Amino acid sequence: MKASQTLAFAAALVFWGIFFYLMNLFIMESQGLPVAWTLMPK
Amino acid sequence: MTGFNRHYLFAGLVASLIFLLPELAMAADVAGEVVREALPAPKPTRADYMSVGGMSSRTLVWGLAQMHLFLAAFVLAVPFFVLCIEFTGAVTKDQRYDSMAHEFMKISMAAYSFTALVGGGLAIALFLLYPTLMGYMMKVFQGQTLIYALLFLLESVCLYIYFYSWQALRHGNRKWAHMSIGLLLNTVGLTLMFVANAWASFMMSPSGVDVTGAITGTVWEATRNPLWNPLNLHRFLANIAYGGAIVGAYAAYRFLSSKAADVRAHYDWMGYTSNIIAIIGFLPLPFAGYWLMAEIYAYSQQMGITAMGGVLAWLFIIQAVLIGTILLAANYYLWCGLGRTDRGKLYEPYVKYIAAVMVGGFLVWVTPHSLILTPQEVQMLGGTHHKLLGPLGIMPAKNIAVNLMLVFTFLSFQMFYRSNRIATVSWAAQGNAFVVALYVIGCLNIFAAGIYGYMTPTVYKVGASVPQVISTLSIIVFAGIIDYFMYRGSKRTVVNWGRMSTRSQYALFVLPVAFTWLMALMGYIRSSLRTHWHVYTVMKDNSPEAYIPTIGQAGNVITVITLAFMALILFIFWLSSLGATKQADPAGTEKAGASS
Repeated sequence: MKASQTLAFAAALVFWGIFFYLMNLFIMESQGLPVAWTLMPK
Repeated sequence: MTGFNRHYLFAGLVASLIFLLPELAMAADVAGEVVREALPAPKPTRADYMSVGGMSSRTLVWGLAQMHLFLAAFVLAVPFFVLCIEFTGAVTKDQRYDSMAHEFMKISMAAYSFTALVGGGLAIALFLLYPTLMGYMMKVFQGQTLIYALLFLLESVCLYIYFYSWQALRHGNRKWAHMSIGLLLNTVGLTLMFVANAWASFMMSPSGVDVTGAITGTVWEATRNPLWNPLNLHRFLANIAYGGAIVGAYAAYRFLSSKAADVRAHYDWMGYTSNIIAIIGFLPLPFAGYWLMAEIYAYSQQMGITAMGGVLAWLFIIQAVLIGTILLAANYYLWCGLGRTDRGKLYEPYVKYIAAVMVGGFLVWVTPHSLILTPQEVQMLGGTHHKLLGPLGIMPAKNIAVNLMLVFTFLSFQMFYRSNRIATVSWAAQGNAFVVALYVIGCLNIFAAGIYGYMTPTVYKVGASVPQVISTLSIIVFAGIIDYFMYRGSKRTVVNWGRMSTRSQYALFVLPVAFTWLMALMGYIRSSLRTHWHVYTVMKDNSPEAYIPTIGQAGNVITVITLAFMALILFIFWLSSLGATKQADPAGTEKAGASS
C-alpha cells in the first residue's frame, strides 16, 4: 500500500469515526437513551 | 412535445395519482360522517358458525386467504418493478430492458386470473362460514368495500391495457403514455392493497369503535388504525422481494431448460436482475418488520408478548432459519456471478470471509434464548440458559448478526458491480480507502451498539437498535454513492452472460420457496396474535376453533399451502413458456402459403 493510500485510509477512518459518533449521540439524545460510558461500572 | 413538457406531464400525473387515488379509496370517510347506530359488536354463538361437510372452517379460510395473499403479492409487485425497468429502458434507450419488462409482465398475466379466482373463493368462504363477523366488518367499512370492488375492476382494465398496448405504444412520446398507464395500474394496485390492509389491521388494532365495538368514528378512523401503516410498508417491501424471487425462479427455469447460448445469456441476465430486485426489496424489510413489531408492542404489550415471549417465540427461530436461507442463497448466486467476468477472480478470495460472516450471523440468529428442557437437562446445563450460548439468544446479539448479514450481502453485490468495471478517476485509490474505512467503522458501530444493548434495560435495548439500522443504511447508501461516482465513465470489461453454473440456478429456486414458506409462517403468527378474538378485544370468536393452532398443526397447514402455491407457480411458468412455443409446420405449408 502506498503512503498516500495509507494516509487516505487513516483520514477516512477518522472521518467515519466522527460521523458515526455524532450520529450515535444524535440518536441517543432524540430517544432519551443514556450515553454509553455513564453505564460503565465505576 | 418537447422533452421538458413530456417530463412535466409525466411528473404531474405521478403527483396527482399519488394524492388523488388513495383519497378516492378512502372517500367513504365522507359517508362515515352520516350518523350510524352505535350498537355494540355482535356476540356470535356456536349456532352462528356454519360447518361444511365436517371440514375445518378456519383451515379452509386460512388456506384460501394465504393463497390469495401469495398471488396478490406477486401480481401487485411485478407491475411495480416492471415500470421501473421500463423507465430505465426509456431513459437509457436500451431495448433489452423493455423486452425484459414485457416478459416479466407476461408471467404475471397468467397469475392474475388465479388471484381473482382465489380472492372470490375467499370472499364466499368468509361470508358463508363467518357471516356475523363479515356483517360487522361491512358495517364498519361500509361503502369502502364497494370502492374496493370498483378498484378491482379498474385494476383489471389498467392491467390489460398496459399489457396489450406494449407493442403499440413502444417508442417516442407513446412510450410515456404507456408508462403513465403503468403508473395508473400501480397506483390502483397499491390502493387496493392499502384498503385490504386496513381491514386486516383493524381486526388486530381496532379504532373508530368503542370498547364494546360500537362504531363511534368514521370509516377513515377505522382505516387509519395503529397498525395500518406499518403493515402497508412491510407488505409493500415484501411484495417487491417476493415478486423478484418468483420471476428469478422463472428465469432459472428457462435458463436450465434451454440449450441455445443466446437464450441462456438472456435468461441469465433476467435471473441476475430478478435477484437484485429481490435483494433491494429484502434489505430494508427487517427494519420494516421491526417497526411493525414495535408498533404491535406499543398498541398492546400483551399482544407483543404473545408474539415474542410466548409459544410463538419459537417460530421466530424458524423465521431466522428461513431468512438465513434466503440470504445465503442470494449471496451464493452473487458469488457464482463473479465467474461471468474475467476480473471476477480478483474478488473471489474475499468470498470465504463473507461466507464466514453469513454463516456466523446465521448461527447467532438461530440460537434460542429460552430452552424447553427436562429437569435432567436443566441439571446437566446448570440452569435454564446455556452459559456461553445463552447471551446469544437475546436481541442485541441477533441485531448485530442481522445487520452484519445485510451489510455483507450488499458487499457481495458491490463486488459483482465492480467486477466488470475499471475505475479511471484519479482519486480511485483514495475513494476505495474511503469505502473500506466506511465498512470498518460502520461494522464496529453495529457491534458497539449491540454491546450497549447488553448493558441497558429492555427499553434501551430497543432504542440501541436504531443506531445499528442507521449504520447499515449509511454503509449501503454512502458506499453506493461513492461507487457511482468512482465508476462513472469507467472502463468496462465483458460480462459473459450465460457463463453460470447449474448450481447457481438452484439458488434462484431456493428463494421463492423460502419466501413463500416464510410468508405463510409469519401470516400464521400475525393472525394468531388475535388469540380468541375476531376483532381484538372487541368481538370474540365463539367458533369451535377459537384458539391458537398448535405449532405442529400450523406447520402442516403452512407446508401444504406452500406446496400448493409452488405447484400453481410451476403451472404458471409452464403456461408462460407454452405461450412462447410455436410448432414447426411439418408439411411446410406455411412457407408455401406465404410465398404464393
